[in-house]
Amino acid sequence: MLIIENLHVRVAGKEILKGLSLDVKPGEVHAIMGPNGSGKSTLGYALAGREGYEVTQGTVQFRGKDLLALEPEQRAGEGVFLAFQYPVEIPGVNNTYFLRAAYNAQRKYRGEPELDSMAFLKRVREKLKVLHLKDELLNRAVNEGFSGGEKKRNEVFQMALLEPALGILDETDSGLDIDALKMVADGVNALRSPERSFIVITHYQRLLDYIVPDYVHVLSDGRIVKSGDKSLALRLEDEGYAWIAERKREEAAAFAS
Amino acid sequence: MSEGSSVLLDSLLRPKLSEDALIALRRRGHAQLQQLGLPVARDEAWRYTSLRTLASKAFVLRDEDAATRVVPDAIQARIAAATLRLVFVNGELRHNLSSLGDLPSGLSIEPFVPTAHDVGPLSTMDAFVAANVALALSGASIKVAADTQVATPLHLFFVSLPSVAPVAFHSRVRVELERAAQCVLIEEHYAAGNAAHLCNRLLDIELDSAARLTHTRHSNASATMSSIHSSRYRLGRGAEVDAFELTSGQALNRHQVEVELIGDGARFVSGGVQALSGRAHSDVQINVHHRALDTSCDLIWRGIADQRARLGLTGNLNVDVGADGSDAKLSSKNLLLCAHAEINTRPVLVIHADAVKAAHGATVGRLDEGALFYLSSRGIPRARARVMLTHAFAIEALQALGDATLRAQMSAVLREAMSAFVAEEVDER
Repeated sequence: MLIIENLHVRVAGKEILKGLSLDVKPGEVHAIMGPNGSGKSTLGYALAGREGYEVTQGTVQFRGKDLLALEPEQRAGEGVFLAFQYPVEIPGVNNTYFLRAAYNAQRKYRGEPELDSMAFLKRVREKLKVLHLKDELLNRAVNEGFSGGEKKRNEVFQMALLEPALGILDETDSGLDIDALKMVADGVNALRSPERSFIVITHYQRLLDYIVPDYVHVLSDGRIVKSGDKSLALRLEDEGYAWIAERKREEAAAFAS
Repeated sequence: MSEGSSVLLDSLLRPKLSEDALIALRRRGHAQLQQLGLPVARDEAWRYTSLRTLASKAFVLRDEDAATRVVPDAIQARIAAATLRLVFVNGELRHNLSSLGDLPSGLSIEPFVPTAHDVGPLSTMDAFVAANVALALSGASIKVAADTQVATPLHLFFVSLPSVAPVAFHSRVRVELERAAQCVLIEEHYAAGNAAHLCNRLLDIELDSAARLTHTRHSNASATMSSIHSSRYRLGRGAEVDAFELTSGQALNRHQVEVELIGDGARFVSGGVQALSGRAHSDVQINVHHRALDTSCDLIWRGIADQRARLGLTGNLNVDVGADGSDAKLSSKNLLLCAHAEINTRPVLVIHADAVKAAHGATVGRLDEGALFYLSSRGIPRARARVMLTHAFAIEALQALGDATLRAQMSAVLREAMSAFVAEEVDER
């Protein structure tokens, strides 16, 4: 599904990702953990195609296509979805209008017929229930005046509606209380399928109790320094990230001598 | 009888001028124009509009074939959609295109007849108003009788079509709403092909006590047109105006708006959007005079300038001595989409009363890249995302319209204008 090889990304003149490689197969859930500043969010933005995230080296293949050659909207059309850590408030753009524009733009990209407003609304209502979101959110402006939890649930709701092949969750758990966290996790778990993959970027292990990953990777200083199964996340929870930094220092010392 | 209303009504009902008086009036306008000359950049009110290019052009006074010119289908369709309508083509009233079939009772519409009182004092007349006084050949006088609520909107179409020589037409429209009268006035300006006329239209609006007017003005002319418009509103006691205007895509657009709040509790709300690209130039000057107790004005203006467009908005809010309880608000927010575009926004507050609320805010910024990325990350192409965001930005100005149906209609017009706006931008690349 997604093959990242030796990815280097520069932001504002500073190299953030320094040779990241990752192979995500269909149906897999990969958790990316790591301390602040390790490049977790940069990975999400680089995959979604944000301006200012300059790829200086490496390749990204997504379902056989060169993802890096595509515009953000084309990546979305191909099935990449980024759930934002900080969803943007867009006053004046009605939520339903936005969702329908996005949904139909993606269908158009894939050469599928657009959905009329009745059929679309029916679909929207089904998905809203899963995320326990209120109907009235549809009539408000995109994310405007939403609480932190509503914003995050709205991201997962959009993902449920758009049914991407790859969902990237960028710290979707941050700022959520335990109930909201469960709702978000339920939403994601309902979407899990043998064809759909997830990259779950998180700072804490807590989310992974609810969205159980197949693999856990530790990102440090722009590279994946350790990979394992879900038990790795538990160890990080117990011991923090310090031991990784410790190990890196040891490696550097060994290399120097 | 309410105070002031009879004096106002008397002034409105003054008899029409005789032929001689009419000639004298035109002479006064002519003399005033001669004395003033054309405005120059030194004139504070014309600081952001240079007339250099316009001043080098010659115009004829009439298009001899105006009565028979064929209006293109696209404009015809818009005209046909309006029930009550007056249609002017190259400045001439076209009876065959206009429709006043079932004129609601209480509404009267007459062809333009100049009268002394609609000119106002010569001292406040600028060169273009003077030219209109001297030269106006067409227009309309619209009156709504006391306590009459006209539900059907009245449309005024000004259509500019190419002719052999460019025409300067000076149209005059006068609207009188008697006590507690209500109506909706929808003004639309269209130009086809390479029409290169000068449209100098003067609109005088008088509202007696408790009258209510909703007025929209939409102009979307080709790049060769020049429009210099003046609108003068006088509001009596408790009278209310909701105004909204949208200007997109003209070579030169200038709108001078004078508002006199002369009756206690009068309220003027004005929303406006200027969406400019190419080398368009649009400059709107709004002067509001609070002359009575508890009067209020609320100006909500949004500007968007792309490419080499130049945009100006000046809001002069004046509160007279004794106009206590006045509430004056101006919000001017602007988007600069290109480094070559120019935006000048000037809020001016002159306050001579004590118990007054006054607020103003003016900003110039860019489209939010974060929001653009958010929309495109959901699959929405960048050009469409720009339309959505510029529309969302501009739509705030529609708050000025209290009427929900009209607001929805203008929102659709706005979206259409924004789509054309972005399409132009894409073409240019």
